[in-house]
This record gives sequence, structure tokens and C-alpha cells, in this order.
Amino acid sequence: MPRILISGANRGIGLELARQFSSAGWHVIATTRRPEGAETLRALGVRIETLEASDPASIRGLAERLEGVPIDVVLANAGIARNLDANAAEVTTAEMREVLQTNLWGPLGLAVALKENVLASERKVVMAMSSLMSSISANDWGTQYSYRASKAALNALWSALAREWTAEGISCTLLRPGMVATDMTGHRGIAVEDSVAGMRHVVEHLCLADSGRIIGYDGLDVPW
Amino acid sequence: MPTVLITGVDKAPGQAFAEGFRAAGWRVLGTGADPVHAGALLPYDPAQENAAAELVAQLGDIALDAVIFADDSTAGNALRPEEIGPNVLIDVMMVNTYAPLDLAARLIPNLKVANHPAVVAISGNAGMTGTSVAPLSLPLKASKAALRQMWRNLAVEWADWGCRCLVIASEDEARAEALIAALAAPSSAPCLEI
Repeated sequence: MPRILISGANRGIGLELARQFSSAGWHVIATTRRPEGAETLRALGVRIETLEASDPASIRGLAERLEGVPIDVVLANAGIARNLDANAAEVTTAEMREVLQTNLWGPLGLAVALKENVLASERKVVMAMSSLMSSISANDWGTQYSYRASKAALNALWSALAREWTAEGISCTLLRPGMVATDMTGHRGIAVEDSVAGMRHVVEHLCLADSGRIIGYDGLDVPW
Repeated sequence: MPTVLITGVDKAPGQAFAEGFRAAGWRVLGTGADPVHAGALLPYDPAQENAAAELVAQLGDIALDAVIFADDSTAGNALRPEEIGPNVLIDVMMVNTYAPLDLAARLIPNLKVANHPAVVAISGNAGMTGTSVAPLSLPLKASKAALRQMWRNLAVEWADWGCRCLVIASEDEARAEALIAALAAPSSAPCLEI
């Protein structure tokens, strides 16, 4: 039975990913910043681990607790959005640093920390959650400076990671959930169940040849 | 005589841009830290948080027809993914992505008083996600892709006052000429990759 680790699994897309992979028979390791408040997650019966996705010490602690556990798929889902309405002059140093630390370094730090777990598994997949807002060629409406910067950089980082790790047998891929009705989007968009069902289908059928792709919940490649 | 501000003229590629623009008859204002040209260059270190504000104060109300952001960081280019800590990655992002965005936004008054102004970002091949095949250089690739994304944003936000947001995506030696030609054609697209 394959095992998946999902960061940021206490709500929204992460919670639904934990629910659907668990229902499909996967071993699920769900991380959250505050396990004490994760009642819905606990009810799923999945393994819950504490993780602050932007904190190197927290990531190291998680890796130590998971030492020797094969993990087929690491899915760096945790992410943040800050001032989405800021214009260029309003983007602060502090905001940019905070968003980059969580959305850009966080996934890389997690993938690196759990690389041995992934190599010890059968499927060997490291994934990060991207977004249509990451797409440079599709960007003709602007806005969301810090979030877009972090996700465009994440795409490039994961593409570069694929360049380095595919030879070791690790598939480094990006997911796009689509515009999902969650707290982050003001509950506009498609149902989270539909987005996650699509992404789960993508994950279930991934192979090494997919390394370096950015794949939508609908199975389609997202333009860089 | 049109005026261009170029950051990082004490090293490549800023140096080549400065020479190219001077040869084409532009007034060139350069930033850098080359002690040989002490006094000729404006001080600006994109890694320092107050550097942009100080540079803008020094420029005053001078009209800038173009600003070229050529001062970037290649720190961490030789590191394997396993060796990249948050400090090097975020620091390179702040220098290569945030600093140009921040300085460009602070220069809006200088750009608005010029005719057909332009801000020019240097991506090189590194920022061309999906096509770049060079090894390693993870911080550079991430920061330059994000820089291209920021320039797309600026092109949308600043379209109403006609600022063009250009990206140099090639590594070839003739790019100063190509850029000067693009700047001489005010009707070029608001967000153009050269």
C-alpha cells in the first residue's frame, strides 16, 4: 500500500487530499501546524505530524521522526497568501520574505529532508502545489505580486530539481488545483472534492517520465 | 538626449549596456561599487534594504527614459538542491526579484515625466522555465522566472500611463543593440521579451 505525506493538511485542499487518499487505501501522513485543533483530520484516522512548513528546524524534526519510513509521494501543499490586492509600490520586504519562505523554500526544504524516504519507496515522487497564478505566459491580468512571485519561482525551482533528481529515479512534478472554493479564494471556484479527485487521479498515474511537468487537476499541462 | 539608469554597470552585463547606450548617444547614469570610477557611479546595493530609497533620493526629479536592472546575484549557483538553505535562496530572490520590483516602483515619478518610458529586466536563459537546460543554478532560475512574472504584472498595472516593461531573455552579445532598437519603437508591445 503506497504512502503519501501531505503538508498543510488541516483544511481546504490539503484536508480533502488526506480524506481522498485515505479512502483510496493509501497510508496518509498529514502535517499541520496545530495538531491539537485538527479534529476533522483526526477523524480520518490518518497519521498526524506537526510541521511548520517554513521552519528549517521543524522540517528537520519531522524528518527525524520519519527516519526509515518509505514515502512514495511527498506533496508539499502548505502555502500562504498575503496582500493579494497590493500594487507594485505596496509590496513590502517583510511580505515578500514571508511568502517566499513558506511557498518557495518550504517545499524544497521538505523534499530535501525526505529525499531518503522517497528513494526508499516504490513510486519516488516529490510534488509541490503550484497555481495558474504561477504561469508567466498566461499572466495578462497581473495582481497578487508576492504570491505570483513565489509560485513562478516554485515552478522554476521544481523544474530545476527535476533536472537534478530525475536521474536518481525521482519524479519531480507540480500540481495545479484550479480555482477551488476555499477560504483562500473567498469560496469562489470549483468544489474542492472535484479538484482533489482530479489531482488524485494525476498522482495515481504519475511516472518518471512526468518529471518536470506542471499538471492541472484536469490532467492538462499548465503553460510556463 | 534620452537618459537611462543602469544598475550594476561595474560588471557584466551592465557594463556592456552602459557602453552600448553611450555609443548610441544616451546619457547613462550607472550604479555600482567600482572604486576605480569612484564618484562616477551612484551607490546602490540591491541587497541592502534602504538602498533603493537612498538612490531615489539622490536622483531627485530627473526624468528617466529607461531603467535597466542589471545588478543581480549569482550566489548559490554551484549548490546542489540538498545544499540550498533558506538564507541563500531567499536572499537571491530578494536581490534578483524583489529589489528590481521595489526600485522600479519607487522610480514611477521619474518615469512618468519621460516620453515612452521603459523598465528593463534581465532574465537571460536562466529565467526561461521549461526550456533552460543548464545544470544547478536553482536560486538564479527561481529568481529570474519570478522577475519575468513581476514584469508581466507591471506591464498590466502601468499600461494606463504607457510604461513599457521589457525583459532581456537572450544571452547574446547584441542585446544592447536589440534593446536600443526596441526602445526606439514606442509602439512596441507593453510587455516584450527580447
